Amino acid sequence: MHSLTFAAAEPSASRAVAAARMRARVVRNVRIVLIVLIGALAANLVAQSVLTGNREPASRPAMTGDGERIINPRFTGRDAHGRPYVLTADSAVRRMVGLGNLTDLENPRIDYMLLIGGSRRPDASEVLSRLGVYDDATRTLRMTDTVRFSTRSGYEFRTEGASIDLDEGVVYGEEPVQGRAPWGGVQAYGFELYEDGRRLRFTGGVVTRFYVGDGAPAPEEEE
Amino acid sequence: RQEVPDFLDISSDDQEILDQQDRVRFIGNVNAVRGDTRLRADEAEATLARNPETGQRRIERITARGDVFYVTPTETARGDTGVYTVSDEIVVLTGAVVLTQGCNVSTGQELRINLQTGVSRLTGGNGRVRSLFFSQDGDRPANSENCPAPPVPGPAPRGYSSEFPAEEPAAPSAN
Repeated sequence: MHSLTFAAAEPSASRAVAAARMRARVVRNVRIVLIVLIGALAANLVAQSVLTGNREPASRPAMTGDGERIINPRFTGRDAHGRPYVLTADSAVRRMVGLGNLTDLENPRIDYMLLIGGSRRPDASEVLSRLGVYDDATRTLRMTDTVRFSTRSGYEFRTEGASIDLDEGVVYGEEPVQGRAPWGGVQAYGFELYEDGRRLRFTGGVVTRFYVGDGAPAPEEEE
Repeated sequence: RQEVPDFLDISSDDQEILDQQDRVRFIGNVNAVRGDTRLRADEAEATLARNPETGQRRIERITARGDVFYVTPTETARGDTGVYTVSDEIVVLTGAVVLTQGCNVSTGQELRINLQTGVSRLTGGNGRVRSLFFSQDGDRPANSENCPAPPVPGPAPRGYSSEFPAEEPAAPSAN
């Protein structure tokens, strides 16, 4: 009969046990660290959504691919005051990589609290201008070529270049502008529109026409 | 008085419309012109009034401050402040008023001009009205060609243009 000699083996067995115990301790520690990390991540996500408040990030339009012409694009989002906007156009071409987030638009339109495209009809589908460039990083729409829009407060604007800062809810321009007011008209070389079109500032060689008497028509400048 | 148009033009360096308060502010080289009457000031504010029946808003009054000049083809008056009430066609200048009509000059505290009747009333406030009248010879008034009207500061008024934009505006004169 053979006797198995254990004595010599004992030190290696205890080492194995010690190693196994060490590994178990490491695994337990790693598990704890992981749990803590997951918790921190979850807390961060909650904090982020609370901090950004109701500023919903602008969603990108349905696009077939960078640089291609996109038919019926839609840019939606909310401004700093939480007011929604929907920017559409007949067509859009996103500029090639490296040129930021610019998209060239044809006949841009906007459904937005602050202003209505076109000069008169309050139909949100009215065109703002023939050409536009939308920067979805700064959320600014640059309008050029026959820019026409009116504010909800009843002021109509005609210019060849203006921008809408959809983040701040401000419309501005540094080109000759004609404004028709419910009580007359304004001609200037720059303008800024604040507070939902209730505060309007005109700059640079301003001429304001007031109609006197009730029957007086607003200035007639038919296209 | 010349036929009065049914509009009034105000040119200025800058302008701000406070729509909800029915106010329009004018900043820098302000010139309000209606027909042959001109009111010039450093700053001014127009107040709009709403017609209760039609709901239309129309200019009711202009309040002017800073080097205020009231100018017509025959007289020039200067004051510290001026109020032009459009509906009644009354202009009131106050504060160190100097009224120049041809060669004659008068000073006082308040000048009240009725644009419809053409009657002007200069009062001395708590001081006295002082006037200087020139005569040619005998009782014939002096020839006003010999007495140029006092200069009015700042650029000339600009009108509402039907061919806007004509050209870039002249940079506001630094005075």
